[in-house]
Amino acid sequence: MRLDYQSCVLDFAFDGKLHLAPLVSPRTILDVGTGTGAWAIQMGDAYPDAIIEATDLSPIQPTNVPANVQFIIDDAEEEDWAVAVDYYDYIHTRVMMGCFEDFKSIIRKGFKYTKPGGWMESLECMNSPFCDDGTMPPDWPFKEWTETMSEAANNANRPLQFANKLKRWYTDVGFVDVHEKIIKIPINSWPRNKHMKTLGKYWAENILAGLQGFSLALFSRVFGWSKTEIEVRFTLLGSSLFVCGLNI
Amino acid sequence: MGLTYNQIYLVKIRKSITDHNVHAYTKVYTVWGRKPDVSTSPTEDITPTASHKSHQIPGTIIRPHPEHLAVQAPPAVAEDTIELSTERAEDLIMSSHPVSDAGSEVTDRPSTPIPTIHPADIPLPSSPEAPTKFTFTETTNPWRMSV
Repeated sequence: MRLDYQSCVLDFAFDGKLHLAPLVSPRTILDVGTGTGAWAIQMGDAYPDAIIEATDLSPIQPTNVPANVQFIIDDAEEEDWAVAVDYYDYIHTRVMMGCFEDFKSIIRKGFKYTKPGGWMESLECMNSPFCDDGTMPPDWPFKEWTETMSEAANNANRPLQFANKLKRWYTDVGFVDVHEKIIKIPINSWPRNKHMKTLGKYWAENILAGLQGFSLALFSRVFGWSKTEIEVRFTLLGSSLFVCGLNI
Repeated sequence: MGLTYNQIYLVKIRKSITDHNVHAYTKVYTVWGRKPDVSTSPTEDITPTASHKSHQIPGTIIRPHPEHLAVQAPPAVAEDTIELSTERAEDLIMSSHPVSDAGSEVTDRPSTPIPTIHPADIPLPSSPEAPTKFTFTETTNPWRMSV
């Protein structure tokens, strides 16, 4: 599944670190928008004394999980998270881009439900690609596609591009000791460095696998393409992937 | 098969993603922050009010040992924490949470010889948006045994 794959790639990018906040024997951990639960399950193994609550709108989580991991179907946009205020030692969100109308309000709620002295952490990708050496043309198709996606997401009131605002939002809602770490993940295996090359290869796979789902969701809802129309287009895209020799 | 402009465009996207001549990258941001332990506001009234009490979680115990009340508070280790004077802490605790015999077991850290105050047990200001909050932590707890 792509989300599990993406989680693995991010683990690889962060050298296996599940979190960057300096946690000291946390007891209550919340994973907002857990998806397939990959991160929550790893945290359950890493912190056997903690209870990991992991929420998502979709019941797509596995059932054979560590005993200290609980999956809950819930909407983090709800004002009341149905737990006591100051309940969690650590709240985590990862790649929530496009999930919420107002991510700052999620951070604000996270602040409310974090214990004093506890931590909250968010990991987000910038939607648009960057380039430092001028090799990316302004009309590079992938760049145009990300811009189309951003436009569609903004039309749907679910903005994608907010990773660069996180630090300010964290400070605004009252968090202190706010840190920001930015890492670069190459779009494909163009770098010479072996680690970065491997990372880029994985990331390209992640994007290619996600292309269909992202496009289906936003192009149909926002631009009104019919399902048949989209399916025909992506049948064609499936064969183009084979032509490109990308069946890794 | 007739290809529309959009179909060709989407094929080009996939090809562009694997184009090694374009040295593009994605930026991944990780941001983490800590909720403050103790108020840094000089104007804050730390005396609990009725509204504070209403937020206490049922069944939680905040019960300092009288013989430990005179113990000097250890120096605060964590940054951004304010060391609490013993007298003020005593006023706070004794006035708002009279010693009760019911449920005197400390549930959270059974190995600790002195009753500890878990952050989740601390009564809160009524508004979640209150700019400052008063709590205890391991480092600011004046009843912590200094051995």
